[in-house]
Amino acid sequence: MVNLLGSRSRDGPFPGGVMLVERLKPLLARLAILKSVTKYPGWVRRKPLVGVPASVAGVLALVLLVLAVTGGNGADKKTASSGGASSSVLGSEGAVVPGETTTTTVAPPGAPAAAAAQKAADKRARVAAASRPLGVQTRGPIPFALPKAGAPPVSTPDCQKYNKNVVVVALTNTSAQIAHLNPAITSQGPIHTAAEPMFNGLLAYDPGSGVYGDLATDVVVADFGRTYEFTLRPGVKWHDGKDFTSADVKFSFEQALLGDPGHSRTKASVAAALDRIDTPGPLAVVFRFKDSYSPLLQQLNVTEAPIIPKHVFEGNVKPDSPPAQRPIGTGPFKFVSKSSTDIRMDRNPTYFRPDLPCFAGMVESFVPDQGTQVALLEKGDVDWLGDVPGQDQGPGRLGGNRSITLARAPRGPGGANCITTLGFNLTAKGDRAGQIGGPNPAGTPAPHPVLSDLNVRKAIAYAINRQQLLDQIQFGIGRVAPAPISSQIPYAHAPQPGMPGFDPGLANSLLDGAGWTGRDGDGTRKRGAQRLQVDFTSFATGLQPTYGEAIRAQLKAVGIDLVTRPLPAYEQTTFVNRDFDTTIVSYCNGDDPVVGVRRQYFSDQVRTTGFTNAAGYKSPQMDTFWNNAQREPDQGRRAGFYRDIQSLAVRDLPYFWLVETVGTRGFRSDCSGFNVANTGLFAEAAFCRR
Amino acid sequence: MTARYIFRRLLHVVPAVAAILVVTFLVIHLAPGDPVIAIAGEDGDQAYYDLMRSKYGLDRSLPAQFFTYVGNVAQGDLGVSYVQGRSVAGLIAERLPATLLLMVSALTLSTLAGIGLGALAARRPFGSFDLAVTSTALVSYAVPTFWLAQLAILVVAYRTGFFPLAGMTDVREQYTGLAHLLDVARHLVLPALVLAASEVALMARSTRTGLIQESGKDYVTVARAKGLSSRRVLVRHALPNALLPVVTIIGTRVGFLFSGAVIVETVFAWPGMGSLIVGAAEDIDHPVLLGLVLLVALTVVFANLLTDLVYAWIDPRIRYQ
Repeated sequence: MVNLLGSRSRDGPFPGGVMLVERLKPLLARLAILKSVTKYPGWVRRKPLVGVPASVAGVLALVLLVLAVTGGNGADKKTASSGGASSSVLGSEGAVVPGETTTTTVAPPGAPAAAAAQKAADKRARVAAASRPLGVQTRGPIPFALPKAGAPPVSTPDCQKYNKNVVVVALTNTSAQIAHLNPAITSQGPIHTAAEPMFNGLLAYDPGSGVYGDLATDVVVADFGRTYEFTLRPGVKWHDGKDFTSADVKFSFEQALLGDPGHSRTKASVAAALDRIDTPGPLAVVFRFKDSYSPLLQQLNVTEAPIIPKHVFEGNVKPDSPPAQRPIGTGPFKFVSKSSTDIRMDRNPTYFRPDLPCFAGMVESFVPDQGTQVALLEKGDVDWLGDVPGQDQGPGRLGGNRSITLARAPRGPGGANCITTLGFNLTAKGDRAGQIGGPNPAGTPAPHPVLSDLNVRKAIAYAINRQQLLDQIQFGIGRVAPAPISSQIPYAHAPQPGMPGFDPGLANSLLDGAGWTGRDGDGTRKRGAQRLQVDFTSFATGLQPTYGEAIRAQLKAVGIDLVTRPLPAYEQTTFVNRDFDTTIVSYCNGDDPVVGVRRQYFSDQVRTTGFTNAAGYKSPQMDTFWNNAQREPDQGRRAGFYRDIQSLAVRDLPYFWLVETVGTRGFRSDCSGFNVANTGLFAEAAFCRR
Repeated sequence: MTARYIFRRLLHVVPAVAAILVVTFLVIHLAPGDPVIAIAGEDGDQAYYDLMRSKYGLDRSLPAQFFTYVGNVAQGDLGVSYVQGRSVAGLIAERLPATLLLMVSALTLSTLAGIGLGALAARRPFGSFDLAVTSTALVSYAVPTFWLAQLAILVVAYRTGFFPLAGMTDVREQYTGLAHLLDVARHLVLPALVLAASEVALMARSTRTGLIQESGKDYVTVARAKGLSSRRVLVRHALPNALLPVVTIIGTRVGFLFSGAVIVETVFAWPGMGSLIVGAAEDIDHPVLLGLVLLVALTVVFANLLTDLVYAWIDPRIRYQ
């Protein structure tokens, strides 16, 4: 099997010391085959440098020649020395296809038809096994509802017909920012976006159908929801050919996901609840929790809990370890190369889902500028954008372009069902007493001199026009948050009538009542000599600084001076040093409140871990509600506790919930089968008709 | 003696680079943020943070870190990237060719086009061609590079389809040999033009002004009186003298070209050092930032040296002692 992408990888610089003549050989060889080239449109049908004066063209050619001789970014040694051999590929429109090369074989004389029939039957069995929904069973009473079991993706005739295309994806980050490709030791969005297509979780999630088996085929939930017994899929191979076993699952959780540095969301929810992981057999894994634990089946997908090979990563789970640069996974695509321009992957020919993926490979191209990304998608140079900026979705641009399809999903590589939230620091700025992992975990912090006053927090909430934030910053995509728990978790979501709406008049009278009656020269309120000034920390990039500017303008109208602080070291300043007055956090709720909401409110979540209880909010009543909710078997009664949690949160207002955000994917309309809600395995069963 | 002059100038490089090192080192370390968070992730434990601190020497005093760094640089060791765990020299070497290609193309393009247009404009000062050149130059000098780059992508590349939108090579097809070179050339045209635009303007205007000034001088009148054609007078007599300030401009613009390249590389997804600088700044990757600043500083210093030498070559009256 000839591997198109593999044989042409450009990772690594051209080794020095290769003689000039060696370098020029393939160029001369190429000259000879110029006439036979029919495919490449750029320099055969068109003049290459249209509109550029001849002298300029000459100079460019000269510079290029110099470059070719120095070998700075040219082809690697392998391609350079085999220029003649590779010509067939160039001249024949991708005739050499990775993975799915069809070879015509002549049946041996007298070969029994039964063998062929047997082969077909084997394949049917394989397909049937792979397309079976997740087997979910319970043993004894289980104190919570289990998620709906959905059907996994399967190959289709079109998928197999159009299986020669490579899917091109644009990544917003630079190559240098994707420091490694091990998704099990971080929850960083950019790394997950880049690496997830090469991995699988135990389960996968499709919002249309439900939870389906990925590396696991069956699960038995027993012991009052304390034990989960998984049966793993037989015959799964890692990209290096080794067998996938239960030891890999145990290793991935114990050493990577829950280790150090670990995966922050999975670690925050699973680590404290987990008792141990047993592996009674090579294809059997048992998770034992200290108490009944309901959300596990919703947090085992490749985003929340990717499984990595023990034999590769054992002792190598730090971000700077070499295997993280050339990852081995079980996923539909396998790693070929990472360069300064792109990450290249080939189809995994031994993928456990028969005849998937449809694409022959995937290229993740580093395009830092989002405007350029959109233009590339429009032109067809890119097939899939994971995040289309709001300003480009209007009817004038992508919205009105029939060759582009836009699809919205409330989830991304940073998690699912996120609410952009304003956090109030209830404790004195920089006071780390009572912070787990901090210098004085047993201490009690001083209250915040301004924000510990509920009326000031309420005034800020009433002064904020959330609809304006949604319209102007998110371009109307998403919704104003009706409650502290996302509306995408319907059973737990309870709209709050007490949620402060936009009412600057009420904000002004609340501030007057709180004693902030004076005014200084620029209209900022004063109480005695103290100005009503608070700061606002955010990431330095993305939309958060824009939220800061908008909220600053809105609060100025009621006499509050908000000082925005966009920080490169945002997490350190906010969550470790607690050096802030107000902050903005995108809290991704996950598919169950325990996954992503509890960390905001529970008293033991005031810790040095990023994206936990930023407010420093501690309420025994709130802790009790959470404990009750987690122990409550009946979903209806559990929803009642979540209602209590939400009305208490709105009453105490440690946060103000601004906007439920939604991600927009964009893809070429001649492609179909993308799973728009699945960040890692979005292209598992997708294909492009071309 | 030219050789002695070069040697003396090279000696000047040492204190310049030392000063640059001290200032950059201090500025980078005074910036807020802990590189250990970037290395060890958002959720590491204290022991791992400590391990990483001692591994990269971050637990030592700032002067101690500085002298170790200078000692290593003197031996040609730029250190290891905190974030990527790879040698800084290797990272730069991987990105340098792309940036060099872009910058050298833009510089060559702007020099040739700038001098050519300036000379043509100076033939008939305040004529229609001159007006066209000077006003176009004014506009292209005033337009911000990032905007021009996006305009080039949307209008030239997207609407006409003459050139690829972004990147350095075709994403779907991986060419080798000559096809690869032509592929790179096609991708190079727009970024090089955009990067060159403001430089062309500057050089055209300087050349034009210089030529107009020179053409009023006695030696030009003498040359005309000898019966030489006006083109010959312009090209052979006036131009070399008019070019002296232009050469200075070229030398001093190298630093600006670097900063322009960062923007152009970001918009066009050109895989050069620009994206390395942006990423290193966001990740507080001290060794990479220091290495890049050092490289840019050295380039500017040597560009200035080269400028002075070219000066002497163009104007034989200048002798360096």
